[in-house]
Amino acid sequence: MTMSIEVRDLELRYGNVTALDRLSFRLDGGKIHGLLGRNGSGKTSLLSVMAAFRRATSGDAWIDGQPVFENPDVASDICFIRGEGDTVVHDWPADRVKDALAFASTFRPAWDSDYATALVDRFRLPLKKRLGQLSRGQRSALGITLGLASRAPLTMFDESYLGMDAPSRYVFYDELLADFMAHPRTFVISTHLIEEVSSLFEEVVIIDEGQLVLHESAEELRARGAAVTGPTEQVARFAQGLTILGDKQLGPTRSVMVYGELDDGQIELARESGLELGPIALQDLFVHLTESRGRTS
Amino acid sequence: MTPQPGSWAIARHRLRLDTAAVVVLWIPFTLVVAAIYVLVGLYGNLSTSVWEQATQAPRWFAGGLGVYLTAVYLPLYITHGQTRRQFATQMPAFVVVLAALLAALITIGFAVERVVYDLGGWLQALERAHLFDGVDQYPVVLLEFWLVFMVWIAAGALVGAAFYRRPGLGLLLVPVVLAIVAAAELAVGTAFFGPFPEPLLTAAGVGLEARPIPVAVITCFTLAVVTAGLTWLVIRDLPIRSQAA
Amino acid sequence: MFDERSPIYRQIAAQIRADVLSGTLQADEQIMSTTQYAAYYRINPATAAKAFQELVDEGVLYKRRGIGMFVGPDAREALRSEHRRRFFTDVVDPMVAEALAIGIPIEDVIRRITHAADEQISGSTVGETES
Repeated sequence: MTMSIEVRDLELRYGNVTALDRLSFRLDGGKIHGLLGRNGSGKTSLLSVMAAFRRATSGDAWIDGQPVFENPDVASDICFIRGEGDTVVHDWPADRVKDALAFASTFRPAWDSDYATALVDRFRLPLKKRLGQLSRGQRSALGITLGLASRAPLTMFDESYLGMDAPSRYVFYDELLADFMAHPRTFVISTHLIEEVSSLFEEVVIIDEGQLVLHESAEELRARGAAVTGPTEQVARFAQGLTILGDKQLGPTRSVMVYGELDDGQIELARESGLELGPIALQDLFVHLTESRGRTS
Repeated sequence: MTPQPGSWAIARHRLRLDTAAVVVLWIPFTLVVAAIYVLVGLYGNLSTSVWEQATQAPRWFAGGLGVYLTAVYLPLYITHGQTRRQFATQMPAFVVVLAALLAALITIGFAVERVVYDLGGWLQALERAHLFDGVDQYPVVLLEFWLVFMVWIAAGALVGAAFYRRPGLGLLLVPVVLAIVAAAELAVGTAFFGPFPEPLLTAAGVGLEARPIPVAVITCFTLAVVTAGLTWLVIRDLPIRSQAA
Repeated sequence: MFDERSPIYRQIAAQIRADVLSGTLQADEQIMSTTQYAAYYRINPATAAKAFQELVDEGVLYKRRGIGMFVGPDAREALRSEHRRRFFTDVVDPMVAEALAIGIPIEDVIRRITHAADEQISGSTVGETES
């Protein structure tokens, strides 16, 4: 069972601050979506609204065509793991790792206990330890366990790997992929470790200052930029009329990042002009797309 | 849709966890009271009911449990896929049952004290007015404490929800909640906690005897319902904060 | 592993084409499934699927429903013709342009080509130089 997400004219305001500014998009079910944005861009606010943790100031979010806020038909099908997971840390004396698992087991209809146990072993989480005594990385690993073992048709992770070392993060990615392929569901992953995680995404949503910057397939996005390097004059002439994301000068050499796929004619022209064409990393594209929003190109 | 966790899942969950907590805490509590008996008996004169005085602490425990219900558990249920409405619908039933459990434990305590005092030849005198005249009116004892605990838990839940939503709102509701609890206490006898000492009440012309049972019942139920209604207003669109905040 | 700076599906497709061309993948041989690609390279299975689709459209792969993806019987030959076709435009012409630009006499280039071919033919133990 997978769930599609639709968001229309979504606005979220905290007093004077607009966290989400008339966002609209639609995400297909059964895919792994990446949600990229700088700190304060509204990622957590957006996911909180989608999970019915908050009500939007105006506009709506729909899961599988149903409004999400206070809707008992879809509520238990949505699992949102925010940071280290909102779990039993304040619930003394029932604030141990095994209590967190027990709580989820009671309220997640599709909970898989065996899978949870396997993940706990893989992450080496001590079952009897109190949550307050876990390291940050262990708390994150618990959050990931809760999210993955929930088998919720819509599962969302918001920067859920904080404090985890690289090997543990790769365990997360491997487990996520393996479970996604064995038990398809809709995943939304928000991250700022773009280069590490982006290979998992089928689609990418970029938001900045509460607005939608871009929503497309990850592969198309990767193809959407080029770095043009060569003698300053030639580069300038080539880049005329193109959308420029960035510009670097080193001596007589200039390197310009252009946004937009180059057609065969342009590629030919570049070669004839002695210019070097190279791809841009998704991370660089992201940086430039969110940096240049203040200025139009 | 995938199957839901089962009807009344929140109420059943809380009953399972909180009755266990109550029973676990009750044992040390009664041991402490027993120690007080021993001390008073050895060095003083047991001429009044010690257990009557001891019912202060369980009231505050009930209030604290109410605060936990909304400030700690409600967010947990929301983050685990329940709705605020499901919580609000199921909590009254749970509160009624838990208050009855606490009232039963209190009543049993009075009965045990009666036996102990009889054996020791002491007088089990009551210092305050109650719905009951004598401790042996067990159904009335049960009723009085059931009413009182219901209101205390509800009051805790209201102020807990308010503080979770916004500390300013919580502070604003503290006097309201105190007034609610005071009104319940006045209905069943005298309010014998801090802000409303007896001299003030006498000066204000408020009688210190208990109201007739029907009046007490209606008053306390009304207070509980009103408190629950106010709590619903606070929680029906309650934003769930991140714990890391 | 994959170069993160260009579409992964293109890199997968390029790798499969190279394997077919070199004979590492034989005609009618089954290739790894999207699930296996995804798990092995830590990528979304849809990315591998996209690469496969491109290769199916080109005729390099064909699909057997319920079983998997297989190398086309004529794939190697087709790829070689394509490489041959582009060899002169993509490799030789630019080399000539560069030689002229630097000022190397074309006879020197031709001599070098012949010499290198002799060396490689006599030095190699495997490989066909004739089609």
